Order: sequence, then structure tokens, then C-alpha cells
Amino acid sequence: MSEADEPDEVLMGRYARGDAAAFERLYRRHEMRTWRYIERNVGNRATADELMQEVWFAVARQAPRYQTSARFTTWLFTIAHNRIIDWVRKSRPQISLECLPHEAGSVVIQLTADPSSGPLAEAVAHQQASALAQALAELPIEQRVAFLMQIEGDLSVEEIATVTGVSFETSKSRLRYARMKLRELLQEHA
Amino acid sequence: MNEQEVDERYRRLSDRDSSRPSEAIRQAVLRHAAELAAQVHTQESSAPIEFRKAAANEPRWRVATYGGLAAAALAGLLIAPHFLAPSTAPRASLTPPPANTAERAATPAAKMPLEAGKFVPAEPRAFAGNVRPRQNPALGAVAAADASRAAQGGARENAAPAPQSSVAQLQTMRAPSAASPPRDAAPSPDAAGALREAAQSGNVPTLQALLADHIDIDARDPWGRTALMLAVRADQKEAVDVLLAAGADPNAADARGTTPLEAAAGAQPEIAAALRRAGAR
Repeated sequence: MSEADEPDEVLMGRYARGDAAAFERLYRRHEMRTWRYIERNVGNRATADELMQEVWFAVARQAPRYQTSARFTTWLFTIAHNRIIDWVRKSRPQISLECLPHEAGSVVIQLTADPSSGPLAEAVAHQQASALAQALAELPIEQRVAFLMQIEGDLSVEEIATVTGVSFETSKSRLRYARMKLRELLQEHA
Repeated sequence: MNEQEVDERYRRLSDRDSSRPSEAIRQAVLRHAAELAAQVHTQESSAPIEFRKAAANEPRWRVATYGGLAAAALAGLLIAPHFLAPSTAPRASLTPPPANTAERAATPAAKMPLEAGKFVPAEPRAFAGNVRPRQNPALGAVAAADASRAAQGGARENAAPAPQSSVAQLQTMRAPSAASPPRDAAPSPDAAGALREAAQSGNVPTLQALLADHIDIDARDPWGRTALMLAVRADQKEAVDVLLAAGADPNAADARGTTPLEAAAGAQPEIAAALRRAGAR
């Protein structure tokens, strides 16, 4: 097995024994998925940067306590999810998590246009970016969390249920409703 | 569009998303991780034996351990009577016991008549809640006798020294350290260490007692960590509050440049908030 194929759990074990290079590989492997999960949930780049740092600092600090019985991505997204909840509660203590509306349009997805394309392609890319951002923003937060956890973190329904503290059925229906809503919204913007 | 198509559409749009975390975040995370990895190496090099680990309980080690303990116990039984037995007739003839307590204290050969078998630590370990050196009564008596001799103009200084046992010589060598000024007069580096220990363990009463002793609140350990930094790393919110209230520097970075605020990232959010209120950057 080459170094690039080493499972996350092995890399975590190596880092817990003091191998900093193993952590760097782990970070680079999961950087973008963690970033997208956080940024698309909080809808603010500066906050996402702050939470991103907090999450990975926590991963580094808690590495010795990491149990290989849990999949690394499940553990990572649990930390990220908890940080997001903390942030939501801290910034808006008067609003319960269940009914927190996402700031419509605050998720700014910067789509990269084909370099060879002209202004028209750029405009199309921008429009698509707005469509995805708008669609995600319109999802209720619990549905958005579940959907992003699955699509970015590759978590199973059961894992999402564990991380978010709900039943398997609740988790499953959140995912179903999230996709139904996204389908409608993306068709509208198509 | 079915569910799979929704996912594919999301991924297609997502793959073209150019937003990413800033380079500064990446650098900060990797630096922090490298720093913690370095600490693991440091701890490993000085880690005590973990007896609960299976490797330490292998039968071959057990035999050696129990055998060694048995040999040590046997040796102790054979040697102890020489130290613990009351003065016998031949020894009494060499060093007759003094008539009263004051004389016993002033006679070098009798400095530790009953303490010979006891272990007297050279430097008391400053655990939380006890930073004062433990005064050994026998050593105190020796110090008092030394002071008394000095006051009398050193009349006995010119006298030929009486023969001393090795234990008595050792006690004489230790006497000055026991007679040194108490920690209250000038807080020693050990007091700063005790402060850091109390901060790290969240022992607030001890922390407050030590801070009242005018100890340097920002004294650092060999890794450049202050008491505040250790309290933050250990997630000790109350200790952090006490230290900040007492004027600890909220920006005192450790040897690797990590600030308390950076270290607070993995701790309770209230700790980071308290640091920011105190001016941490």
C-alpha cells in the first residue's frame, strides 16, 4: 500500500504518535470537504475560516483520544457539526436551532469559468453559482446539515443520525426532503 | 431529475467552486499540529513506565520485577536493624548520648539520632496547595544550633571537629538549604512551576494563594508556556478567568509562537471569549 492510499485511521494513529507529516496528508485530503461543509452551512467566509481553524485545531488536540472504532470522517464531521452548533447558539442565542433560517443568498459560491471562455460563459457560471447558493440557502438548516454531511462527508444515514442526535428515520426523511427541495429549486434556476 | 441527478448537479457545480480556506488558516493548522507532534516526542522521551500497559506485564518482566522486589526486601531486612536498633553498649561508648535535648541538637553526631532511617527530600516538590518547604525538625535544630554558634562568636569554630557518621555529615550538608529564607520572602522558580501546575489542573484555591505571593504570573516553562497558556490548553475556564483577572498577559505566546487565543481553538468557546475580552489577539 502506497502512502497515498493509507486509510485516514492509520494516518491518525501515526499522528497521535508524533508524525506531523501524517496530519498534513490528512488535512490536505479532507480540507475542501470540511471547508465546503462549514462554509455552506454558516454562509459567511470569515466565520467559515474561523470555524475551519477551530475544527482542525480540535482534531490535532484530540488525536490521542481518537478511537479507531469510529470512521475518521464521522469523527471529523461530528467536530465540525458541534462547532457550527456552538457558533449558531453563540451568535443567535434567542433562536432555536430547529427554526434557524439561513440567510438567503449569503452562501457565495464562486464558480470558476473555463479560462478559454468569454464574458458570456462567466455570466453563466455566475448565474449557476447563485442558483446553487440560493437553493442551499432555502433549505431548512437540519436538512442542509444532513445533505451536506452526506454529499461532502460521505456519511451514511446511520452516521448522520448519530452525529446529529436524531433517529435513523428522521435522518433519512431529512435527506429525502432536502433532495426533493433541491430538485425543485435547481429546476427553477435551470 | 431524480435524487442521483440532484447529487450530480450539486457536485458539478461544487467542483467548479473556487472558494477555499485561506492560506493563513492552513499554515496555522499545520503549525499547531506540528507543535503538538513535537510535544508527543518530548513526552515520549521522558514518559514514566505505564504499568497498565500489557507490555509491562509480560511474564518475563513480572519474574524480574518480583524477584528484584524480593531481593530488595531481603536486603532491607538485613540492613535495617543496623540503622534502627537503639544505641548498643559499644556505640554508646563511642558517642555517649547528651544529657538534654539542647545538647543533642548541638552535637553533630546526634543531629539525626532517630531520623537515620528516614528519607529526607533535598528539595520539597511543590504540589498544588503546598509550596512551602517542609521543615525537618532535626534540621531546624541544627540550623538553630549553627545560628547559636555564630552568635557566640564562633567559639567552637576553632575546636577540632568531632568524628561524624556519614549520615550526620549528609545532614550537616543539607542544613543550610533548610535554613534558607522561606519562599514567602522571595518566590523561587519552583513557585512559578507550582503556579503553572495549579493553572493546568484547575486548582483555583491554590492558584489564588500563589498569586497572592507575588509570583511572576507570566513565568514560562522550558517550552515558553505561561500558566495562562497551560490553563487554556487544559480547558480550565475558571483558572483562565482567575489568571486574566490577576493580570496575566493574554498575548504571551509560547516558544513556537502559538498565542493563547490560538491554543483556545480546541477549548470551550467561553475561554476564547474571555481571552478576547482581555485583549487577546
